[in-house]
Amino acid sequence: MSERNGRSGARDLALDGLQKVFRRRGQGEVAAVAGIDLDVAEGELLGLLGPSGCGKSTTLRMIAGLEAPSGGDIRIGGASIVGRPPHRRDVAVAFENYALYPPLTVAENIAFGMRARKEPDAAARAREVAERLGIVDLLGRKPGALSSGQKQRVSLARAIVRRPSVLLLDEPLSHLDAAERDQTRRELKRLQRETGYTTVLVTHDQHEALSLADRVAVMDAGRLLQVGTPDEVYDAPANRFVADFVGEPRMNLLAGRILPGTPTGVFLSDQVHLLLPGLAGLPEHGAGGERAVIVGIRPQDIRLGPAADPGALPATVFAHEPLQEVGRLTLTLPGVATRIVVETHHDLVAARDEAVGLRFDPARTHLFDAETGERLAWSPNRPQNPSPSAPSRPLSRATSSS
Amino acid sequence: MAVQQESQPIAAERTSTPGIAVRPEAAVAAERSGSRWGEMALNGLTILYFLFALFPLVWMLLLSLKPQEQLFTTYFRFSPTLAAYREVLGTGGGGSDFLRFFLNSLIVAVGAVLISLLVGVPAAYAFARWKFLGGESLLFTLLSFRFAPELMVIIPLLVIYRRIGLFDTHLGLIWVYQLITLPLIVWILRSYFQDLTPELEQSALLDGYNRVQAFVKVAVPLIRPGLAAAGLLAFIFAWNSFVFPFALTGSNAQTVTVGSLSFLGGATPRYNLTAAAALIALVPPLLLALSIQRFLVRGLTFGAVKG
Repeated sequence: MSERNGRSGARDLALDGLQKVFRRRGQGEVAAVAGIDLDVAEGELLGLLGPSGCGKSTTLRMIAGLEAPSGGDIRIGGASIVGRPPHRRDVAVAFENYALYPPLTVAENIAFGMRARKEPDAAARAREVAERLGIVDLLGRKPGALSSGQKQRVSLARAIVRRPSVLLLDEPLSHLDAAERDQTRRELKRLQRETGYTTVLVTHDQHEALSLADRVAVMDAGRLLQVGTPDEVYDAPANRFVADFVGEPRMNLLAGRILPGTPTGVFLSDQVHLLLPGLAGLPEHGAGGERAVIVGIRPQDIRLGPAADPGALPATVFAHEPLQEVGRLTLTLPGVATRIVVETHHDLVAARDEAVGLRFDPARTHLFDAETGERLAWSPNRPQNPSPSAPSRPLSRATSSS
Repeated sequence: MAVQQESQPIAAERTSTPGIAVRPEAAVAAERSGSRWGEMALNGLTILYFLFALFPLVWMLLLSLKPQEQLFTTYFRFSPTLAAYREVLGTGGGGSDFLRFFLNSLIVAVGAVLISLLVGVPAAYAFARWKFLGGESLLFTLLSFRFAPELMVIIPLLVIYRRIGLFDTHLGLIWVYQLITLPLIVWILRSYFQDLTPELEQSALLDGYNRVQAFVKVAVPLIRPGLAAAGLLAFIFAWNSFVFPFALTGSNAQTVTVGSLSFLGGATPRYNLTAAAALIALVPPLLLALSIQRFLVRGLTFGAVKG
């Protein structure tokens, strides 16, 4: 419990088979959280990412003690905290709606918990934390007179003034406008680094998770789908859901077939054959017969070239959206129902129905099993399991042509 | 939705600025459009309605100031006298039961509201925060007390009260008044509690409060305007109740509403006394309303206009 630098006695958090089952009349049992195993190291910032209703908030509420788990264990520093009342868990929460008490000033709000526990020098500590967060000039104001960003900072101050073992942030940036969001995100990151709190950040916003978190845990329908560094999650999505959910614009996901006669590529349609050298090495591929897969390619990983390029896939322009910083091109591949989106250089000009050629980097092409949605461990240039520290993210920024 | 929840307490803060009364939207709109005629027409209509609504009160005031001989004149010329008030209050030396009735009314109405608040505030909180088996039907049952006519139950109630010794007692009236005050308080306050984001109490739980403290020290202070509004309404309804005290009291616990009636019982109906008594009976609710007016404007609008 060193108090230097406002550091907490940060400790590690472990979720072990954590479950929450709600019983609703007429619906039977609904598993909001269906058995989660997760370890958050001391001082780590873990981003719990998922669409609304995926169980991430329920997970957070169980850690905080606001909801009782139906099964499994929650441990902080090795000791189980299940069954303890919220205030005896050494956990602090910054709530999505800030949950500031309207009749109290900012200073009183920050000191509220310490006063409730009758701790000494509450006012002094509240001031210290306010200084750290740059909100000293707000101390005398009431929450009604604050902007969303200021409220968020007060809420954060109230959480960290307790020097908790584990800090839980519930959608901390979701109610801020764009400018405030960028600023608060940077400050949050710096603060977390400086103070070294073990932090769980719950969010539905992938930017927030990818930019802030040391590791990201992607959740859907009560299950953890993938846990990894932002690079791992982005570069090697474990399944179709993660591939679809993480990344902006969304990854192109195209249905394709691998035919026994030509195991070196994927047929996206009768006319479109995507050559993927090394595909023959796909395990369990030798079974013979046709295999249905999903091909995933990020819009940033497709290179646009002239239609005459013999090695490129022919495509025609369906729509072009100039988004100023970048351009976004929607293209039709012959015989393929799903249109493909390509991010282009901002000054590219494309006319409707123009013919272009598309080149793919096999190393940046993902394959998923069409039935299970699981990632097919296939990699042409890299070892079988993609290395987590692959530095190759913008390997092939789409370049303009024509 | 979350944003709305969050903004409610702030709205309460803002409207607390004294002097900013609630203006009809139409008036604001008329002003904006710059139409002086529209504004005048609106003011005219408002004044017209004001006169219409206030006339019975004025008539009562005039009636109470008339001497017995001029009671039935319908023109506005008479020799005003306070004789009726003197007689009602017994200050003329004749003595009067009216003050006793008045006190009874106070005891019974205040007692009924206090007990309803004591029971109703936690009940409203529970209804707002948790879904429990039979919760909805319980709420509806409470509401049904309000739309079941009192006359329907009064005879059996009278029989029961006589048998168990509650007839003509303060406690008996306070008890039966719960039918009037409790549903009102529970229903109004439930919507106030629903407007509070539960995160406030959860935050308090994390800060070291237990559930009871989070309720008493965090949630209840934030619905104070609702408490004032619901309490006042309940008081007015209890104060004005006629059927229950009429049937369930004799001379001991009789209230103002029933007591005022006695002036009509003689050979000549003494409307001036009844009017004076009614005007005096108007005083406590009026004083109460004035004293909590600051909360009331907020309370009545804030609770009604919800997200």
